[in-house]
Amino acid sequence: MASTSNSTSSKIITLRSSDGEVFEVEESVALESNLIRRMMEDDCANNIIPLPNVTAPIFYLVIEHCKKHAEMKDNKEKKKELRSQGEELLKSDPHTYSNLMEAVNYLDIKSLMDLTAQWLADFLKGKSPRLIRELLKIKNDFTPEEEAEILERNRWAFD
Amino acid sequence: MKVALEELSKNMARGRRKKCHVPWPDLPLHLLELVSSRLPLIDYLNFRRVCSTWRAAAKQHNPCPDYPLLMTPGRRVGRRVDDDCRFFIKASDGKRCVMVLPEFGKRYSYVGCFYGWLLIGDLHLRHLLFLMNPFTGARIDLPLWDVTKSVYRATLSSPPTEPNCVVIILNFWYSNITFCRIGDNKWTTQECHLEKPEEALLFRGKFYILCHQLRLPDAECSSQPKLAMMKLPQGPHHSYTSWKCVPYLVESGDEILLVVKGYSRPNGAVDRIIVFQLDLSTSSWLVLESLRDHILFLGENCSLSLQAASLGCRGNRIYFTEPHHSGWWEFDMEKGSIVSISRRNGGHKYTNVNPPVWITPHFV
Repeated sequence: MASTSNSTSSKIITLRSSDGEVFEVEESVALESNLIRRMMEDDCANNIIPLPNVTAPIFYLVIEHCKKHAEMKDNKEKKKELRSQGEELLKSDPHTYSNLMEAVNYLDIKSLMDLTAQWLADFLKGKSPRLIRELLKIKNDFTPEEEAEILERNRWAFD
Repeated sequence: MKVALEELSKNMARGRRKKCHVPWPDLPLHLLELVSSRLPLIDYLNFRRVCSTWRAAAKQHNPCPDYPLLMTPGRRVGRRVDDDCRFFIKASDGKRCVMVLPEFGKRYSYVGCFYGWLLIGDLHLRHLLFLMNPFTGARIDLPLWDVTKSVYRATLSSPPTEPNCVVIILNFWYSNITFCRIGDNKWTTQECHLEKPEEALLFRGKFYILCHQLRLPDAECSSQPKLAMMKLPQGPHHSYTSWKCVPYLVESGDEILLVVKGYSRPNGAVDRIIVFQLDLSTSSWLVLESLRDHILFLGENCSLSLQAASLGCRGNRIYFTEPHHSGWWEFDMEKGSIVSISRRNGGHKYTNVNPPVWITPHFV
């Protein structure tokens, strides 16, 4: 099942990340990206397609996710596996996760955009703003006045 | 596969140290919005408090589109009820959160809720009447009110942030209506020869006003706002003289519905609910047997109808509240049963000036 992409003798597309690394990717996988699709339609297909906004490590990650996503379509276990990997990454390395989201957005891969957003949303559920900042290493950029105002206006609590 | 992944993460770590990374707040707004749109209300509110970019991104949309929450007063702290607290309860599962709204306990009295805005009267300065969105704190002042009159029923033609929004106010004991446009500096009173007006509803650009009797066939009010009068239904279903009944007008699926809540004599509890649909061609009321896929939320000046599918629950039901009671009830139209839904601390009687209202949160 996992070898569906291999059995169809699909074309190989060459891509270059922003840090100069060259990737050879099966067409079926590369076409998940609307950006690459558009570039190919514009007849860049025979050359190396440059991806100036994506670094090699992030691109690895995107390809891996794309492959998994193609496999998981009707496979619940794969779905779970992919999900838990996403969650793991979010916990262990939130900055890479945000890079992944950014890259997926740049490459315009709709399915992965939805998935990564959903994982992040699930991760945020039930967490306080302070805990979210701490876990995702986000700087609190509200001025003390703003913070006080927000607090005064919306003092929410779980019941 | 696992080995490959480990290698990957090593690569990633290397790359991360070398390359500049996108810190969270710099993610494009639409991506953050994609995340915030997947959050339930409380998490959405927490999301807005993380940092200023996230706050800006979350503004783009509404976390619980159309889902009304029941806003009830008073959080019990031991024996004491904290007046400044309000519960926001999801009727379907009873989940709730608490919000502190200063001044709401003693000073502000709200009449109803429209498009997520409360119509509030100031009990200290009684001529002050304003609209307030409790979720954003935004406030829109209305012209000074004549303190000799009380506000019984009100309705808005649109969200008050839209241009030309009209506010109409009725009083059961007056034959006229009072209205203003947002931004006007005074109220306008228009004689309409109403006999005990009960409810008003905006429908297809006209305000439909429900009265006990009609003195004129249709009030010839050519001026703005456009009005149409309707009489309460008479007949065997229903007798207004025998015991207390409370009517509500609701727009539902491009129809005008009249829902009548009837109280039983011995204990004063609601024991029947009848739904009528207006036949626009004959201006008569037809009894409606089923709401099909709609759910009604009934309350003083805050009734609404929604499609059950969009809320992810079963239709043909009515949720209703009672003044001076913080609980709510469910009427299953198919079975004809009425069930009280209360939780711990909830469902108590209180003497607060504010009725429970259905509010659909808006953050704009």
